[in-house]
Amino acid sequence: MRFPLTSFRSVLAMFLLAFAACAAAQTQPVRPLLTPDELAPLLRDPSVRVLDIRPAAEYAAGHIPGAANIPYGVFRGPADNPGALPSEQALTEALRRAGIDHDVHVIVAHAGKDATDFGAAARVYWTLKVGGLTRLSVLDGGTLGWKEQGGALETAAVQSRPSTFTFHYDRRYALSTEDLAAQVRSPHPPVLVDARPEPFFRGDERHGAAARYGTLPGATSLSYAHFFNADGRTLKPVEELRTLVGREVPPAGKPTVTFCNTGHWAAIDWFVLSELLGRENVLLYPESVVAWSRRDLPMDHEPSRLQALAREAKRWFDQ
Amino acid sequence: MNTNLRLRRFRRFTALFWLGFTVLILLDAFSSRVYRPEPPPIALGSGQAPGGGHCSGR
Amino acid sequence: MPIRRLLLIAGALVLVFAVTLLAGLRQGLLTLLGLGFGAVLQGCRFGFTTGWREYLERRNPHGLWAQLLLLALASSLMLPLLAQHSGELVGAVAPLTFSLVLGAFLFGAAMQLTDGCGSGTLYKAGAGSPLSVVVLPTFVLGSFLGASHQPAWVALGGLPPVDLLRYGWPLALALTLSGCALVALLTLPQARAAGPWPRRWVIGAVLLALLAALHLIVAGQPWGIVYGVGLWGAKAFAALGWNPAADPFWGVAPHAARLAEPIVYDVTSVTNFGLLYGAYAASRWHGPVTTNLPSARRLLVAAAAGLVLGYSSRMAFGCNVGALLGGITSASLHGWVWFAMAFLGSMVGVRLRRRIDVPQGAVFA
Repeated sequence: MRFPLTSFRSVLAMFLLAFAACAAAQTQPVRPLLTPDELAPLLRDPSVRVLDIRPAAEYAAGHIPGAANIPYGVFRGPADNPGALPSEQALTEALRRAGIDHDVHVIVAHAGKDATDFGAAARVYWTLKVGGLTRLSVLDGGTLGWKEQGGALETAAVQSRPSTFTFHYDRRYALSTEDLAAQVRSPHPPVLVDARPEPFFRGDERHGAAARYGTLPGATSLSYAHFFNADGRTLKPVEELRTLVGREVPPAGKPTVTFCNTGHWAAIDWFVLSELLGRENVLLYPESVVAWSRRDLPMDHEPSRLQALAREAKRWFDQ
Repeated sequence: MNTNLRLRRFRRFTALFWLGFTVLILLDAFSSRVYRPEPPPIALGSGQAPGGGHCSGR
Repeated sequence: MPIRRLLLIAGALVLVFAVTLLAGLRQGLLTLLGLGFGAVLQGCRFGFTTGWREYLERRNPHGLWAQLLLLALASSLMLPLLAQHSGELVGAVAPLTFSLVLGAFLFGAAMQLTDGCGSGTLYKAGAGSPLSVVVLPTFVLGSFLGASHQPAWVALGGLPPVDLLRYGWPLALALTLSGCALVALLTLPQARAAGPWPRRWVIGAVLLALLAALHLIVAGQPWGIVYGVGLWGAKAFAALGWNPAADPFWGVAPHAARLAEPIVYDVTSVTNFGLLYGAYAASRWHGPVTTNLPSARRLLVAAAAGLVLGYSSRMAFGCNVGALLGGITSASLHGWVWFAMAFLGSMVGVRLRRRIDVPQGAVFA
């Protein structure tokens, strides 16, 4: 029997075409921020995976169709240092179970109740990026925003085919406290951006796990809260963000490091500067002030001991 | 030995003892640069478990 | 007010202020409570050692009754708090180990020779009693060594902790009060014979019960003494080059953290500081005091007994404060076992004491 040459050619051509299409789909960059309207058509794409980061009970009560669940806590450290990086092994296991791999477009969906929820999504986005994933987005407004735009929710548990992904931190982008301390002491310190609300920056308030009041030496204040619309949940348009950031943190040709108390709000600043505005060389300091304040490292806006005691008393009366 | 003299010597020893005690505590307080989140002034109502350090073995 | 009293008060304020500056508001408050403990203990001469000895030697249970009153009042205040705020307040609960039985017995014997238990040694040292000043350093050394060996002693075995609060605080309190009443009943005939109950001991018991409850509220744990005393020893040895990392007690959580921090961060240490000064101030309140210097032999024996006192207190999960008062007012059975065994030990201790207290010349006669 003769092998039909024409048909072989056509099969080969089709195969090559399909391969090229696949390759194109994989290399085509994804938008870092998606609206619910933009998400809807993507849900039919098998290479898209919505990652719901709410607690398991909230996920079970109703989630975006097809979403996998990895609660935010999996991406966090212990209570005395919540910004600490979780182990690579723990993240590898969780991401494999959720079927996440290099070729999957991961869309992070937070609760969407407030700006702090957005911070969780941004921190997960950052963690996944530092761990080697490139096709990442955050759903602006989160699950609540999706629901309010008329998006359907489902309660059925989603079974994912486990992946073989291995999570590995790229240490160039996951700054340790030692790394940052060395950079701050060097003759060319980075631009430090404090993402916390102003009272933290001024040293009037502290996080419960922080040992001292104040901010990192020479830091600029750029509260995450400025980035949000009046609803306090969705981000302002990019051009508005560009103007705002350009005014507060003009480009300086130096690396920029965002921080907050536990690397949560700082992830919003990082996300806006690096991912939305496309600034080069923007890093997040994941452990932030909680870890920094416990070391013998310099801080700005540190109150005197008596002022600090008065603030401790105020903290207690206000609680 | 004269009882009064012995007692006076002992008093001097006691004063030196407490002076040394105080100096050691102060040295300890100023030599270790440990920063910790200050616990709330009162444990009751703070929502935090005590840190430990009791004779019962905790 | 005489200038002396103003100076004594100023000294107390300086102490509280210094600790607050160094270690924060809670530690400052605890220093204040420590001052109260010291002033009440000294002002009322509230001792466990003397109370027991008076009963053993003269059948006078007044001191013992004052202790029972303290236990009953403090339990009534503390048990409901412990039951309703279990996340924030933690009682003194320890297992019923062989080390508890032996340690409490040795402690009871040693405290008759040192003429002071944990709180007694501290308040008398603060007030300037030569015997207690001599005992304090060996007490520190003993507590440090005893803590280091505690895990090995506990490993010898025993029964798990019995926490009566498991059955709810009303029942736990009823059982605790019944225990106090039972001991009081057993000594009722002698109490009648001994005449009226000295008022200062009743006042002392009431004030100490209030302070003990306040301590629980502020610190989140019952009042303690020997933990801090042992920590001072560990600090001293660490400063001399000893490496605590491999120690089965001082090298593990949470004790390793306590050792790495300044002493003023430790709860029992700052109440001890306050206690020492509070007792000093109370003893000088009415003017200078006259001190009698015991014989060198008596001091030497007391110093040696101080070593046993410190060591055995750690075998037994605390002294009369941490284990007896703390344990019973936490409705933990180990407090009662401690009470019984230390009392037996004191029966031996008062006999030993009589042999040492004989005039110096008679020993060589």
